[in-house]
Amino acid sequence: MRLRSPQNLIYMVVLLCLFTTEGFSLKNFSERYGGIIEPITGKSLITGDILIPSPRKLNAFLFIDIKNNGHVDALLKLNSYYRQLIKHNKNVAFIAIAKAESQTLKKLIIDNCIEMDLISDEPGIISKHFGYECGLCLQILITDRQSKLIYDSSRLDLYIIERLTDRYSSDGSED
Amino acid sequence: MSVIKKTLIALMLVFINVLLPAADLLNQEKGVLQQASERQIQFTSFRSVPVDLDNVPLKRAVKILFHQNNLYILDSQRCELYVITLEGRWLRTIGRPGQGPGDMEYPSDFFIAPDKKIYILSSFSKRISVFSIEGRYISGFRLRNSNLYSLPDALMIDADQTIIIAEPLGDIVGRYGADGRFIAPLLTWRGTGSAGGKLLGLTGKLAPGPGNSIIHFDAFRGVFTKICANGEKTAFSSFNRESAVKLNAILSEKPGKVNNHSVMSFILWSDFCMDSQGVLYALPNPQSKESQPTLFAWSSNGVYLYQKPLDGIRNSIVLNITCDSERFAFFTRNVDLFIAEIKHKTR
Repeated sequence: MRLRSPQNLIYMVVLLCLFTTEGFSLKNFSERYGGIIEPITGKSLITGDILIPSPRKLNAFLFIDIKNNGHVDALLKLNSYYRQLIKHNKNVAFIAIAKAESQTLKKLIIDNCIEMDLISDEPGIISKHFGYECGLCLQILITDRQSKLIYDSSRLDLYIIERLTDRYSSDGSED
Repeated sequence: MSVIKKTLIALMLVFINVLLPAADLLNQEKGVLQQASERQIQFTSFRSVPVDLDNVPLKRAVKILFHQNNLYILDSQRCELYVITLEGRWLRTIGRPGQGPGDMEYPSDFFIAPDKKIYILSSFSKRISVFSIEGRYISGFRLRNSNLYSLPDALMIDADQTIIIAEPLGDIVGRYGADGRFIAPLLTWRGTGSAGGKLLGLTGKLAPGPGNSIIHFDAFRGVFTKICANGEKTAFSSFNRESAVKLNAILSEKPGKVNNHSVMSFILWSDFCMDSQGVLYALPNPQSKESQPTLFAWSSNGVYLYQKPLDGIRNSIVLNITCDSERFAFFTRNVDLFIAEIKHKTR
């Protein structure tokens, strides 16, 4: 495309944003806010069979494509933050879900010292349960201790996640 | 002298004084008050305000505003609106990050309506949250526009209590109802006319103008558009050689020559404000700290008045500006806040 007019420049910027923001979601955030996520069982490669969302905990779900380095970086950042939270005895459960083979994910866990739950969801059952069927885009969901959805984003912003974790996970906070 | 000659001279004077300036409001090269320093705004003092950073952990302020001798600072990264005194003491924080009621997600603008309600626009989620002046959450709603990719950037409430939104990727300026329903476009890509259809509006900013008009500022090109209540539009700007060269490079057919590739570097003007007399002030966005911040001034009719260096601010890039009848405030990239008292104002 040649930049013959300012409008073309705008369209190029929009297209660039769309392609670089891989997890761009078209869903209406506000309509999903407060909806209760029904529990489903899954098998974590770290802790074995778990209930998703974990009851009476703040849950953060990270949907990633492990072939994407940016997504792996996001997983590592979230894992690092999870380790800090656990050190301070916060009542949280961080779960990453990837449509990939168990062997591949196990290698990822060993190579990067991942402590948060990581689920191999190759058939896509859990992803479908959450309404996430893309498989290629980054998505983060956070539920409060009543399993109500409080955050749904295609962008990993640790500052917002930190503030939400503070607000919803500790005793005496919003329930 | 005959009556005919007198009439002809009068007509010529009208033509020179009225018609010619009106046709030349874009790219005005010389300020009409550039040499009349006594008629320019005079700052008596520049003082750096020590902000209480424990309670006001500013990261990226996007708008500052004076209201009732307090200063309101909206931070898009912290997703909070801070209220501080003119001495920098923290008073309260309004809003918080998140997606629920009273939460904000990357807010880009706020406006304090005459009924003392604060409207805060979350750009990415296209939501407007309404708070009382004390910070109590009142209501919230989403902007409903058929253009999925529009990115609301700025808002204001006009005299009819309707919401005016600047959205660079949709209609440049549009009118919305109190429930977020889209009513009508006010300034569109093809409808500008006076700006030659070249308004980019990558970062639009809004302010209520004199006589129920709306002032839209295109921070990319430094072009103001005044939208009158009757729908009449007037575009005006001044000539800024540095900005013009950079803009031409960006819009040229070989954009690879431009060294800075980030979109932020394309934004050539920082912010603008309007004082109680309708004089508009804007700051070009310098590319280095060594550049002296310079204030440009226009009359409410669009005539370029003068430019004035801000001597009290050195080695800083000013990002935000606001003013009231007694003072100006400048917020810099180094998270420094300066307040300048005004001695005398012209026009």
